[in-house]
Amino acid sequence: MISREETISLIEECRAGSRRAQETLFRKFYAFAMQTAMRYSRNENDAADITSVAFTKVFRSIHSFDIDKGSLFAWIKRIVINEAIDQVKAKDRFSDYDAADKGEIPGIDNHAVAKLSAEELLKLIRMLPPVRQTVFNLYVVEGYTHREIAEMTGMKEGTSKWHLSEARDQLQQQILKLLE
Amino acid sequence: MNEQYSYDPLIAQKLAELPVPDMADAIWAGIDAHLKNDPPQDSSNTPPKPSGGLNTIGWVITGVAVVVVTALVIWLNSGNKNQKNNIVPPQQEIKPLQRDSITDDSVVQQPVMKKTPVIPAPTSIFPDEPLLKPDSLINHPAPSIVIPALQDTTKNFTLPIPNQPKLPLLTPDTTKPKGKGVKGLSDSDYKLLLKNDSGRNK
Repeated sequence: MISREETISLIEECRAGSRRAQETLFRKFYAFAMQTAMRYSRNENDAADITSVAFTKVFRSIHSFDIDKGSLFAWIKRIVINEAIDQVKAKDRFSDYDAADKGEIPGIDNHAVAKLSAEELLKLIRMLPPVRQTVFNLYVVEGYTHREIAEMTGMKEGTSKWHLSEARDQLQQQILKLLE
Repeated sequence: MNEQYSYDPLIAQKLAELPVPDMADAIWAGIDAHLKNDPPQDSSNTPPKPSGGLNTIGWVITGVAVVVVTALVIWLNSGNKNQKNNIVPPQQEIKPLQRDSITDDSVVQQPVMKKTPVIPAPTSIFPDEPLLKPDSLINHPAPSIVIPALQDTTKNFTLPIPNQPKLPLLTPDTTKPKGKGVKGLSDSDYKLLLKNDSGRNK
């Protein structure tokens, strides 16, 4: 955990162009940034690409960061997520679907989820189509609303809801299949 | 508020415990390379700290600007030399800004002098007075210059071509009836004549 004073000092050195400070900042935030990238990517190499580009953007735009307006952690996380969305957009379109409401979504048993390891859960999430995987992460893990997801991805709010319901349905089936 | 299912927090918690591969060194090498190739741009509102000199991009921009300005000056000077004696400079009315607080002449806005082609004034009109004030024209008699009326030169316009032999006009001969068939053949050519060919076996 990095203190506010240490953060401010590190930011100032990064703004001055200190490569040592930039590397220090990178290594302090690498784990959570890489973890975030892994949830949005299909494999570790893709996650590494997302992390690399994201931190490059961090250092290029660190002059615009204001510590009084938010935490450095949240700022870096947002950059990583935006980069992950951009990479998904580069390969797949966040198209709009006029899909009817599916009604009640079958729930996933908590006990079933608890039995899964983090790697197994990640594997199941990565089996989702890239757009659906992104929406699932943004909604369930990051806590964004469908309106916010729609703004970030360029899709309609209804499409975001549809993707989430499809993702839950698919995950439900995969979890049950895995635990059989 | 998000509609959360009971397993959502559990999924988020499990994913937060995800082990991270040890790729920090490789990723940092990539970041370092990117930053070296394209240094960070200062996009903040706060004034940047003085860096002590121009970076590479700054030098390139400065060099290009110097070249452009130099070329412009040379071009303007060469243009001015050719038209120096014959040009009547365009008269533009300069209106200063009407502000009470402004007393400095340098603040007066000067109109942008557009470079428009200037037709050299004929020197025969006022041979002794190359530059006249507009009021002085009243006392001078109008010069007797006859300006020919504009004519439509597109009609009956023939391009004079010297030493061109007159080519005979080819007109169809309407006196004779139009012949049938291919020209050069007569009616007798169409008659089929059997020729005795004793050498041919039937």
